[in-house]
Amino acid sequence: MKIALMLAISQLFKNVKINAILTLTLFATSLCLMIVVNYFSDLARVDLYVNENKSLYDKTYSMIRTSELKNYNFSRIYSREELEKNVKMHRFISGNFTNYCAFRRGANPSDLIFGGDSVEFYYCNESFSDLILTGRIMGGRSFEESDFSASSLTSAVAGFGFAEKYSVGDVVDNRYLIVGILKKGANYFNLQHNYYPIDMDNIVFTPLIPDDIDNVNSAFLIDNAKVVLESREDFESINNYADHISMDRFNFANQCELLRLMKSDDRVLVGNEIFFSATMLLILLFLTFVFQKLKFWGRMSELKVHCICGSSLCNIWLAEFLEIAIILLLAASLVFVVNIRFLHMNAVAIAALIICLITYALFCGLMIYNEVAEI
Amino acid sequence: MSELIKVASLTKEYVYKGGSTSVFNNLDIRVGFGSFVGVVGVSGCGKSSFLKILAGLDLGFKGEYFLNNINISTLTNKKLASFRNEVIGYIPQEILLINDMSIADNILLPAKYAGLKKSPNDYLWFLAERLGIKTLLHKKPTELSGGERQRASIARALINRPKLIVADEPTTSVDDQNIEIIMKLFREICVDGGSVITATHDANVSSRCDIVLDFKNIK
Repeated sequence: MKIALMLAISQLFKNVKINAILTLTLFATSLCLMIVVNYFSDLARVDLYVNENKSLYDKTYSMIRTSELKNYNFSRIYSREELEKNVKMHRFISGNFTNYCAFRRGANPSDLIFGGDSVEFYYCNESFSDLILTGRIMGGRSFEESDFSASSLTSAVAGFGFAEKYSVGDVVDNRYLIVGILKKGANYFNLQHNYYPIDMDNIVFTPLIPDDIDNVNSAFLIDNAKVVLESREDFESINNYADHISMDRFNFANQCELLRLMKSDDRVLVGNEIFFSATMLLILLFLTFVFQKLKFWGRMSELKVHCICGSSLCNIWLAEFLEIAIILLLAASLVFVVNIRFLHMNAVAIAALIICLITYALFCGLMIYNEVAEI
Repeated sequence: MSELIKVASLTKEYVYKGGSTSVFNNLDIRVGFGSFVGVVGVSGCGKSSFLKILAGLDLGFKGEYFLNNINISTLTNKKLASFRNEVIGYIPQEILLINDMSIADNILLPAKYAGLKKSPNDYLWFLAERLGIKTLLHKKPTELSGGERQRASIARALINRPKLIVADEPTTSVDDQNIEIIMKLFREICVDGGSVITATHDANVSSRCDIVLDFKNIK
C-alpha cells in the first residue's frame, strides 16, 4: 500500500497537466449533473408539496397587475401615493379573504447580532404563521394574534440554524423575543418565480404588524400575497376595490396553474441543461479514456520495471487507481466547496454526485484493470 | 545435483480470435543448482515466452513449474511478486530502466521492494565495478549508451543475490570485452550455487553454457 501510494503520487505529478484537465472536467461534469438532479428533485418536491395541499392550492392565487408595470421591480422608484395604494389593497384582502404573505426585509444593524450577513429576516402575516409556520415548529409556538400588536419586544420565530444559540424565551438585543424555533430543514415553496424551496433554517420570521405597515417596504405587499379565493365574484370584488382606490386591476394566477406554466417555460431550459450535462459527461469519458491510455503507454515500460523488480500487479493496479482516486477526491472537494459556498444543493443532488463519482471510479478501475493485465 | 527448476508438461499457447497457436508443447526440463543453461533458437521460436514463464512473469501456461520446490502457479499474486523479488533476477530483452531515477536507484529498486534494512551498497559497488559502470551510478539512463544501460539492467537483476538469473539475450548491445565480463560474472554466480538461464543468438555465449536447449528441436 505504501509503495502504491508513493507510485501514485509520483505519477500524479509526472502527468500534472493531464490530471489537472481531468480534475477540472470531472468537476464541471459533476456540477452540471448536480444542477440537473437538484432541479428535478426540487420539481418533484414542489409537485409533492402542491399535491399534499391540493385543496388549498386549488383556491390559492397570486395577484398580477394588468398594467405594463406588472409587479414589484427593483429598478423602479415607487411614488408615495402608489405605495399607499399597496397598503390599502393589502388591508382590503387581509380583511376579507385569507391572505398569507411573507417577504424578505433588510436587516437593521442591530439584527446582525443574530449571526451576521447570512441571516435573513422575513416579515410574515398571521395567515402565513397559521398555514406555514405552525406545522414546522420544533419548540415553542408560531405567532399568535397578540404578536401582531405593536409592543416593545418583537416576537420572533427562528430557523433551526439558531437552535444552538438561542432558546425559546430568550431576548435578543433587548428587541426580539424568541417565541419559537423551526424544525431542521424546514422549507416552503413560494411558487412565485421559481420552484426552489425556501430553506427556513437561517431565516428569522417577525410579524408583519398591521399598525406598523406604513413603515415596511409596502411595494412587496401585493407581490408576495397569496390569496385564497372561492369564486370569480371574489376576483371581481378585489378588482372593484382596485378601481375604487385607482389602482391597477389584477389578473389572478392559480398556484397549480402557475406551476404548470413554469414547468412549460422551463422545459427548454431543462432540455438545454440535460444536453449540456450529457455532452460534458461524454467529453469526460472520452478524455478519461484517451488520457488514461496515453498515460499508460507513456509509463508502460516503467510499470514493467516495477513488475520485474518485485511489485505485484495488485500494487500496480492500486497505484494507478489511487492516482484516479486523488483526482476524484480533488474534484469532489471542489464541488462540495462550491456547493457550500454558492449553490446549497439538496441532499438528493449530493447523493447523485456521490453515485456518479463511484460509477466513474468503477469505470476507471475496470479500465485500469484491463490495462494492467497487458503488462 | 539437487533441482532448482522442475518443469513438467509445460505448454504455451497464444489464443487469438478464431484460433490459437502453440509455441511449445509438453516441455519437461530439470535444472540443478549451479547450472549455466543456454536457450537458443530462431526468432519467434518461443525462447522469450519460455523465459518469462521461468521468471514468474507469465502464468498463462499449461503444465507444472516448480522453482526451488515451490509450484509457482499456486502462489497468490502478492506472494509470487515477493518470491520473484527474492529468488529470481530477470534481465529482459528490451532494456527497461526508469528514466527519472539515477542508475544507482534503478539498480537498487529490487532491494527497496525487498525492504532490505541493511543497505546493499557494498554489493552495488561490487557489481558496478565488475560491470564497468561505477562512474555512471549518479547518471540518468538517458545519458548512457545502450551497452551501459544493458549492464545496469544486469546489475539490477543481480542486486538481491537471487538463486536464479533469467536473462533474455543479455549481450545483444554489449561489446566483446563486456560480454567476457558478463559471462565471467554469470559463471561466478553458478559456482556460488545459483543458476543462470540465458537466451542467446551468440555462439560465443552458448558455447560457454553447461547445457544448451535448442528450441528448434524442442518444438
